Amino acid sequence: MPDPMKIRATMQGDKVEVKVLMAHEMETGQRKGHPAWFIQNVKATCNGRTVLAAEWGPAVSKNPFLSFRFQGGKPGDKVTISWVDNHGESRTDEATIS
Amino acid sequence: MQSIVRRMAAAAALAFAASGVAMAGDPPIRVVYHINEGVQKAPAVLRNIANELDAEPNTKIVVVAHGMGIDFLLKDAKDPKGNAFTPEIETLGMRGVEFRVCNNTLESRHIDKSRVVPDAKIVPSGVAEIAKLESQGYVYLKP
Repeated sequence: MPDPMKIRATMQGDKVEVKVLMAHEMETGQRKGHPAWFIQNVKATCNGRTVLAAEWGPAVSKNPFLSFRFQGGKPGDKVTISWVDNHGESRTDEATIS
Repeated sequence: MQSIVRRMAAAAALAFAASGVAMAGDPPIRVVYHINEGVQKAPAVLRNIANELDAEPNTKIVVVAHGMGIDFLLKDAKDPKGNAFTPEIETLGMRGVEFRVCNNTLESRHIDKSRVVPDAKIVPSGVAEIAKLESQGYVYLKP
């Protein structure tokens, strides 16, 4: 089981600012003896509505930090982040907007 | 007689168990990083902090900046290679690191408070903050 993400979601005016720190090796596959191992898909939802969907590649750094803003959230809503890597491993965590 | 020996052994074992618990409950390491040099120094300091957290994830770290040391905590600050500091600062912030900026410096250098990044907190005096943290048991580090 991969380590949990750290997620913070706060109101910034009428937008929700989300900051996510993921724990992942993010191996490019270019190093000898280190097969490619990286997050391929990232999705963020707020109360079931997708607010961000991304396809990532090996160029993203180890332990990626992701920050984004979206409209239409309010304090108390749940923001759920999930990722899937090229090994098929996944992780889903959530935070409450404050 | 034998039962007394056995009881003593049991008591000793209990004492060991108790000391084991006490060790697990040791207070986390607390460190104050002091920076008073400009943006050319900041990348190394941030790297030191990330490395320390990699080695000891439970370490509580506070960074106190004054003088030229506050430059990397201003909006739009860039390191000598032209990279923004924000991702590193926010990443460390997510890992529990606190950044504190000296207000005396802001005043003497005529820097508006609004230019300080939101992840940093403004304190009245950088040196007083360091002294306060040290008196609370924080370890002083100046990379």
